Amino acid sequence: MSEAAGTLTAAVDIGGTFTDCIIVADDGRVAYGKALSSPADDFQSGFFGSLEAAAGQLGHTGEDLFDSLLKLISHGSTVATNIVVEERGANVGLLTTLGHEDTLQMMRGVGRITGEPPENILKITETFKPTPLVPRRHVAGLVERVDSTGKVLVELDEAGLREAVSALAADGCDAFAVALLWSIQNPAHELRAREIINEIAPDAFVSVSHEISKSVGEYERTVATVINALVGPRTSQYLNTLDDRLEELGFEDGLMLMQSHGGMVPLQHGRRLPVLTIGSGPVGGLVGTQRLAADLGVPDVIATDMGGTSFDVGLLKDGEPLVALDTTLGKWNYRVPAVEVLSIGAGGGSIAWVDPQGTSLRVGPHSASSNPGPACYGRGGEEPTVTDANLVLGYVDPEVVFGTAADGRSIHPDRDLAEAAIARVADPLGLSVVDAALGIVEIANTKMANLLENVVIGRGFDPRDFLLVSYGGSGPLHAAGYARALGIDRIAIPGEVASVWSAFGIALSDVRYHAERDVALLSPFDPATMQVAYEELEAELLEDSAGERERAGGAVQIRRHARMRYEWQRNELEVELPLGDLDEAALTAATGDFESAYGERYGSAALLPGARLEITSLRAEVLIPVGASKAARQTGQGAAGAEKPTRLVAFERGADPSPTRVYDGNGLAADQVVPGPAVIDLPTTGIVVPAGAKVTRSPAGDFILTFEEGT
Amino acid sequence: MSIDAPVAPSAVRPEGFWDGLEHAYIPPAERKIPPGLKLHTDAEVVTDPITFEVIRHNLWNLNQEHFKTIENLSVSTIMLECRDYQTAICTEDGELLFFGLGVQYFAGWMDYVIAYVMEKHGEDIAEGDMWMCNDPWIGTAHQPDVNLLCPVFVEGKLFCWVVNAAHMNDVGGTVPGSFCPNAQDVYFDPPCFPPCRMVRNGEIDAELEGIYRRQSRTPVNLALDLRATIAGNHAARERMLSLVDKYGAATVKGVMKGLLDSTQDSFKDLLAKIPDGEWSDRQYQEVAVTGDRGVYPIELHMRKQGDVLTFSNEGTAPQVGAINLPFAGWRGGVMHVLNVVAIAENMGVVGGAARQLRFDPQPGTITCPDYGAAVSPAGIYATTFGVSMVASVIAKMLICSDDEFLRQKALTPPNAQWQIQIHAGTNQRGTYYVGPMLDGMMGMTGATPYKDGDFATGSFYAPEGRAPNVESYERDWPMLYLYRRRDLDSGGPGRHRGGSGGRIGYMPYNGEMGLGVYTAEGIPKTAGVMGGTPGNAGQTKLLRGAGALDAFAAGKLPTSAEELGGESVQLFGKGDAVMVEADDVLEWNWTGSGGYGDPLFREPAAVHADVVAGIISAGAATAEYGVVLGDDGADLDATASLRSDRLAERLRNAGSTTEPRARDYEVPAGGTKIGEELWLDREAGEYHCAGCGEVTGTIAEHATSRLVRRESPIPEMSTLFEDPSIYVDDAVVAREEFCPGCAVRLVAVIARPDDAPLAEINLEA
Repeated sequence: MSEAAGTLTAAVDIGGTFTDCIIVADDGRVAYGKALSSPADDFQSGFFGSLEAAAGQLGHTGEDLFDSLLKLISHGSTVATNIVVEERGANVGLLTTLGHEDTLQMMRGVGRITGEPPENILKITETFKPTPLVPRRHVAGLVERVDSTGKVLVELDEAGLREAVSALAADGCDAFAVALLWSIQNPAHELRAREIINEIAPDAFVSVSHEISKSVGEYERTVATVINALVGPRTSQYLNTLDDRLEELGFEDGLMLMQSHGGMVPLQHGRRLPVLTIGSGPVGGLVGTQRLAADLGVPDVIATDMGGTSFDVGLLKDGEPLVALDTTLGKWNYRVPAVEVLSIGAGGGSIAWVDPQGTSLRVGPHSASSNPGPACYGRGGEEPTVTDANLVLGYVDPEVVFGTAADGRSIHPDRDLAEAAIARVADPLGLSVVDAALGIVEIANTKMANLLENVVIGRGFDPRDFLLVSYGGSGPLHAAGYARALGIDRIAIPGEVASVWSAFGIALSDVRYHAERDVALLSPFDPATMQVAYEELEAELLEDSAGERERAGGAVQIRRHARMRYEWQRNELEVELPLGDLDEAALTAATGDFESAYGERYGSAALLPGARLEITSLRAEVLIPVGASKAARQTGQGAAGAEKPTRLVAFERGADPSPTRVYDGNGLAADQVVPGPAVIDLPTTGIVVPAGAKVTRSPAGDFILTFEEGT
Repeated sequence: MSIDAPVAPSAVRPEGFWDGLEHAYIPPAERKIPPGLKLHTDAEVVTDPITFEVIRHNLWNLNQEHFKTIENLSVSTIMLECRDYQTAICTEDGELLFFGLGVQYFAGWMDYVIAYVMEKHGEDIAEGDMWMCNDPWIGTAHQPDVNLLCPVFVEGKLFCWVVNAAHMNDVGGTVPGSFCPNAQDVYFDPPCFPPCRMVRNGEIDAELEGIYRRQSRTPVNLALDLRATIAGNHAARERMLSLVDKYGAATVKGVMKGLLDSTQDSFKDLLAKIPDGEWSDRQYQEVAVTGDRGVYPIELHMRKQGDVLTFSNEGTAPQVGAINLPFAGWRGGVMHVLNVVAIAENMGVVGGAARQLRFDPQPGTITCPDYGAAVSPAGIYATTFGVSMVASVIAKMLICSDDEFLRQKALTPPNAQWQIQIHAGTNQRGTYYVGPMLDGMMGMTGATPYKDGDFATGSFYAPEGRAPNVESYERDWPMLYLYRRRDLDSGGPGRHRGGSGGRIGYMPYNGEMGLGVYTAEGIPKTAGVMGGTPGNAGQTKLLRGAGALDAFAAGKLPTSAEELGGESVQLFGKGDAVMVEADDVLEWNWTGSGGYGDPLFREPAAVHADVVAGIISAGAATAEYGVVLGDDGADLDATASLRSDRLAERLRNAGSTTEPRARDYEVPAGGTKIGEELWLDREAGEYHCAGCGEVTGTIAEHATSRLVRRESPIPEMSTLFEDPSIYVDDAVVAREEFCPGCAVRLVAVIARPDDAPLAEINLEA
């Protein structure tokens, strides 16, 4: 089929093992491609390989793909995340305000517990701080000081700065992070520091804190700035190579980067802030979920992504994701604009064990991760994992291929190895292997349900009001279990294969610019002060986004938010404010919104009449619709009759596994109903449909699992 | 009742003695429950390991949810940043089941307050009520830590309790913040509320709340925090009821009892790996109240016999001034250290371990005061002190085990005082504020026989606590930080060095500031172990007219008191409030932990690495460790020679005429090793030095009864220490004891010259 120029949108998501690509045509057609990620050549062959594979499906092989057909390439990646996790970052020199050089090392005293599973928090003698992101000898203090209002108290000592930068560069630093106190109120010293670093070390990557976060709190801002510098050189290098190659191919100006805040920015804007690409994959999944929820007409969603090593949760309230206060990566906390995605270490790789008193079976927090992986992978793992249990129980297709190992070989699970591993916990507890496997699944489901409870109820919501969406390599196997524990009676599983889901979400994302300013305003609020601040923020955003607005034909949406709390309290809620001139009435309405949201979350007993309110930050954002909003869902729809031969599946302890109906998920037709008990096989995963539940294929291709009344 | 007698036989007194009125409340072995209170006691033994785990995790999680609810809603800085609050689930008869991640020593009383309410008000316990109590003689460490107990009823019977205790910002008393170092007695302190129903049938009692709020300088904060704790209990009760609904009351209760039993078993297993014996510590409090210059010994003795640990405070000075630690807090120290060191893998089921504990307190003493004593500043001076001493005796016990895993848990104690400053005044927005500076929450950890202590690893006292950002304080309070960093030479020297403390300089800025609470101490109080040097003391420097503003104008940023000018005002511990003027600078430090083992035997390369890393000074490398630094590392020959001279000097100074022996002894197989330093020959009834084989003590006496001793002015033991006579009048000295054979230091303590040597380690024959 011939394609008109500028009608294709592509999304490329570079993961640890695979690079996934989706191409969406303006008429809604969708194609999917996949290639091995290729760190050896700066990720280029994976990027272009997946693109070409997807294009091939649409019948395009020619060079006109890049110079004519594609109008936009959206890009998400775990490259930056992996650099931090694997400690392969640049040699960073950190410049701070003199007297505060130990901020990064002190970690506010939470370095021991950050990122630790709750089981470890009390273990004072067994848990430790991480190796510092920057060795202390590469931290230099600058003579300069700004106060909390932005007034300069001590001028920047440029001679000292030059000396420090030269010494750090001579000691091998190839990236610099500059994080000075109160730069968010007055960035002059950070900007000047960057100029001087550029003079002395013109090839070094420079990261300055006020451009990364506008939030009060130097520790979290410093961590974000340092991480940005750590990953900067490597990400810049691959992005530059990518950009050059795209330009050679005739594709110009349309490469967009997916950001942790759920929107995209053009390459030239985002290249300096690679820290914002961290977590963009899970956020992509959440954007995909927004589309799925819209298809189903549901505003409130709990999105759950269970993979091999982690269980990630995001919420949509009234169709919008919640905003995160802090982001945790490994043992580091930092603060950047981000959509909230919380994570616990529960995944297919979680290891089961018996407590020393022999009274209970435990699951996690230790994980077999991807190496050696679950016992059934046959790669040396001997301990029983959740994935082994799923295999033994018949939940996953014994013929399944669990992706490809780093060496390029496919992983076929071995049921005997899984059984032997589970016997290691079954035997001491006097359980059969099948009962122990059921126990492992039940306990894993409990832990996930408990996390969901904390996230959902902890924010004042009732999980029963939510639709639960489940994806990831292990999610649909467990969704019925953890949803039921919360009283949720409807689950949606996307029709797209797990690995594409994030890329799909990235393809749908719009360009988003946002700007935030920390303030300390006490009620009664002055509308004029706020109006001036918003107008300044909006002017800045409109200038930044001029190029994208023009490309998008001028369509733009502006939003205003304010973060509000009771005076002295740390717990803040964001409320939306109207555009145009703010007046008393608008602010009264906003404080009313705050109080009702607060009451809804924490109960009316938590409200104290007469307590003063405080606004701590003002935020404006500009949204430019560029995403492939018309994309048809990439779900294989079959004709009715996708039934496969039965297999032995276990659902209840004490009962023998029994022959159970099995379906090929991709072969199910729209509106086809699968009553439980049954298993629906999907590529690399499956849906467990217990007795009393049923699955209906939606017209969009999603699987909707519902429970009958009273089950 | 199933709960074992908490009072050791030797402490049994006439019925009604431990009454919560004149003396501390300790529940009787046979709990008194009025017939009108019906308990829901059905419990089914849950043998299914899967159901057990599912319910266990749900119970743990509901306590977490309780904790998070309070975190979301509370407003006081101390609660938010120190996590100076705690949540728990207790059984119907008050045993502590899950105990949360907040302040750990609160475990010392939540169960006892429940016992008290059941004993005295049992007939009035009703569904929908919550009981408030901050009476230190019934159960709290000091008045600001306020308990709120919520009974949970199932089928009209008392099924369990969900409880919290939270440090409130200001509940009255003589000093803003309610830590009152000038309190002569309890009537200077904030008021004590014995148990009362703050919530009746789901509603706040407005009259009672009115009385409560009226005591506070920050009544709105107090009211918001009260609501946070109510909301927390409410959430936990709802979750508990839904769990009972789902699994049945008897099953849930069966898991609760099963968890207590299995933790009890795991604690007994631990004790089985430790020889019977007694371990002791003695430290000295100073300055009982504003203007005082006294020194007061506190002793702690822990005896292990079979599977029971008994704690005694014999030898502790009579209650005095404002440095007292209520019994509840003293017991809390024990529960605290066990929870984070001994049974940490049980995720807070501390009630199981509590069954194996006995207490033998002498009433009327600093660590078990009778009614009338001031206790409100306990959080700063007395509770940390108590916890630190418990950590010291537990560490000494663990190094006597032959279980490698337990020996690795032998941490030298954390800082024995909570270094803090509380200022108050008018902030840059013209609002009254109370500013507790919680930078000390950066914390540190102690050393072990195998590892150095760490810097800024968080508070030992509250694992989830966190220190503030400089920017958050500067935004809310009228102040400007000059510096905040690791404090050079602050970790106690040792074969393994203690973790460093930190140092802060700040000044008032754009507002008015008075300093009400600050630390200025002369006596080091944080023990080292096995000859490790104690941790340093906390000090405050007030520089009047320091000239920082002029320095700024000249383009300079001072980073130490030495770089500033002005007049240094001598401040004294628990001193009067002082106004801090515009060009004054305050410098203070939070302290490090003590060292483990003799610093003269620390690896020279490790000493050099510490110098390079800015942890110790070059001067300390030589003075403390006997290391001579070369151009590129330690000069090994010169170091060996200097150390050899030092060892000989030790013996000479201690009055011995022999030269130090070589340390080439091999410990015979089968001996009971005590750390890496000693071993016990049970047959001969003698303790020996593991380095040279010399006898160090006898089983009839104690492990270090045959050492040679030297007493010297405290600054001579370590350059980390000041002369305490600036702060106190009583004589105190550094007491060091050495192996008579090889001169390795095995004891390094502070003592009054006339105090008898302490039997720190005394195993049973």
